[in-house]
Amino acid sequence: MIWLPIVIGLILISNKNISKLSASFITLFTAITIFIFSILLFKLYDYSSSELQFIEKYEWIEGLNIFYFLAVDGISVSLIILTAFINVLIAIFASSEDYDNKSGYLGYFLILEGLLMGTFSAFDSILFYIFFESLLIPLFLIIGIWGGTNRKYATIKFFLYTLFGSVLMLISILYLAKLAGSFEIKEFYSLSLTFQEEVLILLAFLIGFGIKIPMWPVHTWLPDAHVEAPTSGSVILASVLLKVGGYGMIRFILPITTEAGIYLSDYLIYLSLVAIVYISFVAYAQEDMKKLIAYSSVAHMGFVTLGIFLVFNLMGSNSSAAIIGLEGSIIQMISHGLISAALFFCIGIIYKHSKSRLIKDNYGVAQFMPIFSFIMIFFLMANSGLPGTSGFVGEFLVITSALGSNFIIALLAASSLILSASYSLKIGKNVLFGQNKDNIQSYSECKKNEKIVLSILIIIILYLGITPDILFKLIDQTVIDIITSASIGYI
Amino acid sequence: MLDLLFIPEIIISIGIMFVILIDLFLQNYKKISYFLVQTILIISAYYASNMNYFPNYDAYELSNFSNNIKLILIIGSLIIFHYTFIHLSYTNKLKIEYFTISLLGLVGTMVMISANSLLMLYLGIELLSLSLYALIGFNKKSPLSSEAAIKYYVLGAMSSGILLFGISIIYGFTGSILYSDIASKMLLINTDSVEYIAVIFGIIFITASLCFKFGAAPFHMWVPDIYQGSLISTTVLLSTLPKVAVFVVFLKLYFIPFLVIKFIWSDILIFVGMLSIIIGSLYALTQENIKRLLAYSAISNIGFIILSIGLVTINGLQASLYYTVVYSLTALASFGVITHITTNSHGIENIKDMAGLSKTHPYFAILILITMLSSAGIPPLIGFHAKLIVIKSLIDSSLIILSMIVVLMTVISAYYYLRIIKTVYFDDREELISTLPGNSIILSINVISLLILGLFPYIIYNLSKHLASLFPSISI
Repeated sequence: MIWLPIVIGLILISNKNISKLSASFITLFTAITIFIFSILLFKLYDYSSSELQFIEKYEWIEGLNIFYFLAVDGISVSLIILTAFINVLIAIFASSEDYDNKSGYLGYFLILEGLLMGTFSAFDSILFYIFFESLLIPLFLIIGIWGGTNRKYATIKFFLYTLFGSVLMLISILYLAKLAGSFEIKEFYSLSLTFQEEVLILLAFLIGFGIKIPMWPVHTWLPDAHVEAPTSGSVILASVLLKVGGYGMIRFILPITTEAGIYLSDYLIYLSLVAIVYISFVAYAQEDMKKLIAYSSVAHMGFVTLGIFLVFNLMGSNSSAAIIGLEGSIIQMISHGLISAALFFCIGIIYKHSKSRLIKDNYGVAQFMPIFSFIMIFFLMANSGLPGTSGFVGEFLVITSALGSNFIIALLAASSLILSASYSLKIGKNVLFGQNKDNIQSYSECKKNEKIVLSILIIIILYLGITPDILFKLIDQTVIDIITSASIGYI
Repeated sequence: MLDLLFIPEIIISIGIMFVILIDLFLQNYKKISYFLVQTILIISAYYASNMNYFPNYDAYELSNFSNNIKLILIIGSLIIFHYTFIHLSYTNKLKIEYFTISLLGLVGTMVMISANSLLMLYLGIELLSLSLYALIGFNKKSPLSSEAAIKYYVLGAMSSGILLFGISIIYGFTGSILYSDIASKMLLINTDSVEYIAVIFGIIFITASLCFKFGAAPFHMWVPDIYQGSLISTTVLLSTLPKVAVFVVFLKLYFIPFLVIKFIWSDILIFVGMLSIIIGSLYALTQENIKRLLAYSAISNIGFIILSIGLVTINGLQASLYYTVVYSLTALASFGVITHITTNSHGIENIKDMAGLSKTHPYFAILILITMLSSAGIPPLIGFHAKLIVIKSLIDSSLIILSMIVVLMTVISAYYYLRIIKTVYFDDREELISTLPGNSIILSINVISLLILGLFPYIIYNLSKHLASLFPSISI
């Protein structure tokens, strides 16, 4: 499942002569196959157990004790399905787009998909790190080759930022491995570290994953990268790549550095709150739609980190609230993956017609594209957390959990519902329903494949918003397991 | 006794004379002489891998360990000569003397590897250096080349002098030039005596000279100028063969005669290693000329090798072996790619000459992508595993701060590798760029091996472990 897209991607890249049509077809076919596989994985996954499942383990580098160790638990499964799903949508969406060397473009996406699957299912820390780092290469090329005018600056900034974060992480992985005598992530959980070690390791991981998520104040690469990326690049970046950071936090920071986390939990929560509140204001001030959505991503990922760090705060006193918080942040990751993907698709469609992403250049789209406008307003509502959409569920859970800790935190977190509504509606009001006075654009209703993509997204977002049960069932046992094991380690 | 005729050094030495003779009569059929050169290498590789009679000499080591290293050198030379041939015949500078001189240098490296006495070591180093002086000045028409040759000659002669000075001090106070004798004398020397201090001085002189030959900071000043001045094919040679040889010399010198006072040289080596990594990474940032850039990148790679020798642990030793093999492979690949590309008027000099390569030659662009990412240490390529193992051995020795500096430098150095990729992929073409005629199969194998070995890193890991186990006396 990891290697299939990578191999096909490599074939697509190395073979220049594949026509655009057949390249799109091959990509779509591969993406759908992978999606079917991941649905099978989902069906066969045993909810009632928190054990790792579908284990594949081979010795990889003998002398160093590094294993090729793949497995899944509930969180992995949910993110794997998200990855596969988004890639199907990208394949459908990109089939009508026109790029030079399209087979290469789609090939890089398939490689990216394979590497993401690997990241979410690797349970050996070095293997995880290798997948995690390799993600940079295809994305670097996607943005750099097919990106906008300022792409060179954006790609190098993005690459160096994330590389910097991850090498610190590598050091702490190696240090942990030295203590544990093994590179398996599960082995790290039972280590007893001194407090000082824990704090340093926590900070290293926090920088590594915090840049990836991204957290305030290391988020500045994200808007640049988003603005310069081609539409599908933004989609995969926002919807899946950012989740790697959150996933890493749950996998590494929560169970390994519990004690330090509890000690630092206040500061970590403040950081998340700054992301939620301050970045929302920043988002409101943006002129560029893509930047606006990028900042809104940072704000929404603030909820994810808030949910994770609240666990530290609540673990001893109120573990059911901690569970709710963590589940909330996972659901927030999934739903933000869907919603931000949808919004970037929408902006991509507008951009294709008007060649501008600025709000002031795009007024009154609704006059020309009524169906599209309806769809987009739905996504904007979902982005602001309207009940009934999946955006609401995650935020609601995190806020509930925050109430268990401290009223002020909950209040500040909840203020984001208003703030995000304000910037979402800013786009809606101006772009969709503004007065198109002088610059009459040649907007026309979106194509069939774009409609398919957007309507699938609407259905899923509504479905998860109304019956989030299915997700809960998937992640419940794993979350409980993580929290109990973390608190046992603490006590 | 007859078996000794077939050690690679002798085969190559006889072959050199043979080639010179043949070339006199076949001036117009250089290809034949070239194939002869390659045949000699293949024959010597065969004998190096199949040797099983090891006479025991004091001053000259013939063993599995040295033969395996020689085999690596011979295979490296095969690839280098292939690149050289393509490059020289395209630029109409093809002379068979180039290959014979390179072969002499190869013999020099082999003598260095086998040397078990300080004088033998000096002989090997001089043989190598003399042929390098000639190779660097090979491009007679270019003033840069002559400048580089003279610079290298003057500095190299001085460093040889320093080496001899160190050797004579050691000889004067221990009474021997054989490694094994020195080792047993060292055990007897009293730590308060004058001898002890003098021997330390001798070691420092020898270390300084070897660091110069290695091109490690703070003795690195010659590296960029000489890399830039000489033909690209000489640069390939310069950046691979001598490094492997000097690495083995370091290993033997420090782990056999001077192991007793390891606390002295290990600090020196760690310092030299860190300094090389830092200088190599920082100075490379501003370079426009690709050869200079790769020169600085060589300096920082050397730093990794020296650093891990300086740890004096089994892990460090394996890491440095691993790194040396990987570095040679990567250097071969990156210079190999550059030898294959040319603009209309001249070879590639500056990074911007490669702008827009991906649009006209996507295949070569991918090769550059792979080599540069491997050099930058991005997984899943082999360069990552090499850096990983070095950093791991640093952490195993509890040098956390040093390992943090090292990884920061890796991030910085990633920038200039990325800059090359950026130029190749994202920039627009200014001048017409083309690739050399002739096949690129060996180049492709070389580059793709970086990827394949990266996915299956245990191949080289086992190799380096095997080599380390062959290494005669490790008692750390």
